[in-house]
Amino acid sequence: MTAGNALLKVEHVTKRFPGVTSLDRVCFEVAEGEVHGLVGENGAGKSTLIKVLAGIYAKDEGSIHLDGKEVAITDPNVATALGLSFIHQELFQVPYFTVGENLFFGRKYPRNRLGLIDWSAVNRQAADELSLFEVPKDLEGQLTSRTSMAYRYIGAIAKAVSQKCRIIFMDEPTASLTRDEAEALFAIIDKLRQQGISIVYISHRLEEIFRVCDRVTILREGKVVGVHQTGTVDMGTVIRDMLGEALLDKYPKTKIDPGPEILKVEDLESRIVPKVSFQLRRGEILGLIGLVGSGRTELVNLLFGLDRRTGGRVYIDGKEVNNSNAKRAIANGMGFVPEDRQKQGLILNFDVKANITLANFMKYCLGKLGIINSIKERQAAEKYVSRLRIKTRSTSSSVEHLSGGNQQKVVIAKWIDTGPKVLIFDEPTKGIDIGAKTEVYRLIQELAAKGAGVILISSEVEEILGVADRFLILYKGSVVGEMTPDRATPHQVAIAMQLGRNGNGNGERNANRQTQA
Amino acid sequence: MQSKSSKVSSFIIRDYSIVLAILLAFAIFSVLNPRFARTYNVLSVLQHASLLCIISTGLTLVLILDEFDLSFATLSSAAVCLSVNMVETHLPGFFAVAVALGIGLLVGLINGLLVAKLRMQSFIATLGTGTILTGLNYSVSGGKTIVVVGGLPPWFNFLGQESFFRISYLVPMMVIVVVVASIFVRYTTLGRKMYGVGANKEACRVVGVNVAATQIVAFVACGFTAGLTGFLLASRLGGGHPLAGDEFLLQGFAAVFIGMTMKGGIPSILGTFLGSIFLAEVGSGLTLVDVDYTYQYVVNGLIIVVFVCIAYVARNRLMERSAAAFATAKN
Repeated sequence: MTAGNALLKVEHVTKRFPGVTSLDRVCFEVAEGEVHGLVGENGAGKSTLIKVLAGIYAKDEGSIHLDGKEVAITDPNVATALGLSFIHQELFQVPYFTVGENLFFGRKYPRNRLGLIDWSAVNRQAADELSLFEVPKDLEGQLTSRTSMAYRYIGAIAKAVSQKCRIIFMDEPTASLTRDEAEALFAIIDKLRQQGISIVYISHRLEEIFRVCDRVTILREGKVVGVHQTGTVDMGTVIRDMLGEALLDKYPKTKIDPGPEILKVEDLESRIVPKVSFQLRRGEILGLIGLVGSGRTELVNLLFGLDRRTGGRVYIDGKEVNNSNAKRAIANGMGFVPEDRQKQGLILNFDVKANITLANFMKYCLGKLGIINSIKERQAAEKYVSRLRIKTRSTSSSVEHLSGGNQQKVVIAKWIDTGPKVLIFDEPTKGIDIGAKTEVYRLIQELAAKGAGVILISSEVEEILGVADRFLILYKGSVVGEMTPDRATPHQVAIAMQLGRNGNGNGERNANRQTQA
Repeated sequence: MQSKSSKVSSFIIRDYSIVLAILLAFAIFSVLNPRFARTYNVLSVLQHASLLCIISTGLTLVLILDEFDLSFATLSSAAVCLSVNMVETHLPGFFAVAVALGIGLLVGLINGLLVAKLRMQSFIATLGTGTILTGLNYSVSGGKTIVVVGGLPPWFNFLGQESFFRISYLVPMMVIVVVVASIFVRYTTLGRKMYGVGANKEACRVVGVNVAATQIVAFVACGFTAGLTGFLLASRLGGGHPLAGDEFLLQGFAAVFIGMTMKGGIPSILGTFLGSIFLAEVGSGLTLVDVDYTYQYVVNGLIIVVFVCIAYVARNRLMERSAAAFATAKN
């Protein structure tokens, strides 16, 4: 399993976007026949690096070398020609093509004498290429939409291999695979490595990184903070590199005495969410932490009425409620600051004051006719702008050009206005700079202090530990543990997120073992 | 996970309900009026269907890309007027055909560039070009039917009005267009890419497909069939009218949507062909059953609504199934 010479060398590549440097002098190296893991929190720069190598983004500075020669990857076709294959998380296959057809999409089709595509040759060749893997017979003739994710993934790999790839980049490959299917994938990766094909394995699941990869590169905030051999490093070090030093003064924490129970969830379930139960008190901030794909957003969507409930009960302030849709949920006293603030939280074409009054505009209407009292609207909006310190030229400016942090404050203002009893925040500080983050935390604390119950979803361990009073850990859709910040270290939490084990028992033991090492 | 191992090619029809509908309608109308089943009527229906089918085939390509073309109908009207006007100038006959095809290609190219290069929404871009064409049609023809002094030369009317063995020449023209389009869509790289782009435009860009090329070709093809239909329409009518082709707007989309029910909500050449036949059949049937002309609009509208619903439900289920495979595997 000895890796060969350096095949791909990324040297001091920098990529800037307005307001943020996504990649900061990143150096990355992949050897021949190596499986190289790439890890980092959301926003650390993993996808940007991949997109630069795939020819989707153009780098601003730095150089890329293949086999010692510098290359310019100007568009995806160039990347493919150089032997770099990418299997994106979404797979990008056409659902109404057959598997064989998708295998050849974008490639040179075998032609007949008339210059037309020879479909029997296509199917034959596809069958050949697929036979390198353990797949059912005639898979190439099957409709992609009727094919399981595992076989679709194999199809994508077969396509890469048949195009004489030298490095396959797999982005979160096991996100949609079962345990067994993941094992089969690892076997395939091993076979590929033996054939001299390198794999760059991007994943949040550190367990897998340690299982499959020879080396791992860790990105944090656009910089490479560590490159380790997986054989010699322990998970604790990797996690520490990923998270960095905890800056606890980032989190303004005021002691709030929690009041009576405001939300009670009993055996709530849906088609996607397994049975879940928990309680929330007034003034309490409950965190929900887990890896991407662990079911957090699905859970709160269900709570808020955006998904259909198939069982269980929800009580707000002691009264049983049926949040069958968002309108009902709002009427019952719930608010939801969504993850994708631009798509789900704001109307980008509208101005600040319209967005702020959006969830509650009947309050600003004259009588029951629904005619908006624009003076009242503007006054309310101005009140929030000053109270939340939203940086905007006026309440009549469009929200489109506000910074991420200020946009988020507008969304929060909108929900504060409804005077909710329970407010759910889904990744509220995603894509916001440090200063604005602190202000958002302050707001959350304020809301809790005023008597609301807050549910905070995050994938950043340090954020949850800094802001939440207690938190639930989700793993593959279910709640696997509950912890409080004073009794858990970041490493414990991160490990629990990765391995799904309850933090109270095994987690603690693991953490002790790490610190002793 | 279950995987149905059937050698289903993505081209083969999997849902025969439209054929069933055609046969059923035939049976019903024949019972209501025996004259419906006569050879003469069947051939007449085919002739009506031919023009609709030709123009709808170009539109099918645009819909495969998940774009819209709202200008093709007035474009065919423009082709009608222009080619009749060409005859008046007593230039060689070739020019009458060339100008019809030419305007089709030109407007198609303009549409394609607006969508591909300027990244305009196709709905709005073609609405704009269509409106401009409507205005031009009126100013060129003065708003009246163009009557050519001395009548149109026999060669002009040949394709539209003559027949061999009682089958109008329009029918083989339709067959040629359908066959060429089918070959293009199924057996050429560009044709396959059109389906890909229609499924997920951004994904194709990411993979390196030249999305702009597919868009331009589709819109040019749609313009071409509109121009061709315009000429054939003029040939059949023996004259020109600024609104001659406008009726194809609704019927064209209807034909493609009806065809979409065949392949899980995806537009297809064969589907459009059958859809055209169905529409022509129903139109003829309703006339023979003495249904008031205005009610025919109602019926046409109902057909569109019903079939579009079926088509989109089928398409959503197909997309959902592939998303469900994603979700269930995740858990």
